[in-house]
Amino acid sequence: MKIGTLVDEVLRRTRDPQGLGTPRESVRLLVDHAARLVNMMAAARVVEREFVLEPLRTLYDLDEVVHTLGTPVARLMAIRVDGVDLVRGDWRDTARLDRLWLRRHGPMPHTWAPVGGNLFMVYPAPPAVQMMAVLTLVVLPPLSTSDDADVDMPEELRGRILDLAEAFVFMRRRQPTDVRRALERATVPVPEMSS
Amino acid sequence: MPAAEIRELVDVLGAALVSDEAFERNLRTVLRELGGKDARIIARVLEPVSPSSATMVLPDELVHLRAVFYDDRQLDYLTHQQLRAVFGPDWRSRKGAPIAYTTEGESWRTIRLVPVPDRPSELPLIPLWSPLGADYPLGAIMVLAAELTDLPPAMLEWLDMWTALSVLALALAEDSPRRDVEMATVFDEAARALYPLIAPGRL
Repeated sequence: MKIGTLVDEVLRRTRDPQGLGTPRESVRLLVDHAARLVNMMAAARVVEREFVLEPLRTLYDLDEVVHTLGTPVARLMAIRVDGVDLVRGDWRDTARLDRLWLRRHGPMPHTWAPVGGNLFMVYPAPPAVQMMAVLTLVVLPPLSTSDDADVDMPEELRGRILDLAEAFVFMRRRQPTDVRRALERATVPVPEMSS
Repeated sequence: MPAAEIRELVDVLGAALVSDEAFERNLRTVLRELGGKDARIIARVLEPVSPSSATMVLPDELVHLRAVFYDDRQLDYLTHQQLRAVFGPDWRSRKGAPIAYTTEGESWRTIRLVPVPDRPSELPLIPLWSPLGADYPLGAIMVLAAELTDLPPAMLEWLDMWTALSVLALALAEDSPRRDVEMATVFDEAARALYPLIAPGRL
């Protein structure tokens, strides 16, 4: 979908087709950010990469994955070892059950868990170097200023992007009732596309 | 999450009504709130532990302590009353491998290991290749804590819009000629509605 078309649609929805109340470039910026947020909500842009587990190590930083991808990562979606998905758990549950979890090692990891926004646990740690695959939700790159720039998102999320961008334009115009109406549509939970 | 991009969003959404001073002040507040949401957790090995000292002060940039480890073990947090019940009235002078920690005085930043370590930590003088793996230092204290950063880390780039909405919610609620309580509420509602959708499982 072209960003110029989305901008036209948002301006039409906000009853300002000529962009007199809100400059077109401002609407483009808001549409761009709405698309990034919808990508986060729907987990739309997921990429898979190989990642090396170190011996006896359970904690890793997403920065280490970002380094191999070369693009910002929002969150980890899944981890696979030898084609098998590890179970996603809660690190606090693991810590309650095993006070030695930080250095626990075993033949094969079976659980992973996020630790805050940037760390993740792979438990138990392998005794030697092991390859795994990480599925990460990547951040959409900022779009160019051309109306022809493509928003790299599935067509079925178009309505959600428009709803959110509409709410942002009404925020700028200080129309709280319209903001709430658009936000209500935009924030209905959306099933993650990668699941 | 460069501050300039957040500033641009604040200007577009708030029609350039937020001053530079209000932006900077409220951005710091929002980043502190992100620390409370565990947006960025760090694993840090603290300074060497000597057999005679059982207390240490956590660095200022750590805003929430999530876990304390000694050697391989995650230590349990116990109150002074619980420590008296477990170790007896002389709990402060017991020596051995620590299995618990407590806080000292009024600040949660000062932590005391119980029992007092009976051997020095083995922190090497050269940087470690894998401090959380094969090079994990023996007899050292490691903490997991939320970090307050002065500059927004690049990995939080996807929180640009949430941060801008949160800054606007605070800035428009302040006592100033630009005060707009209704719009401050709208920005706050939007930030609260969006966070769990874009950062599931983080609250």
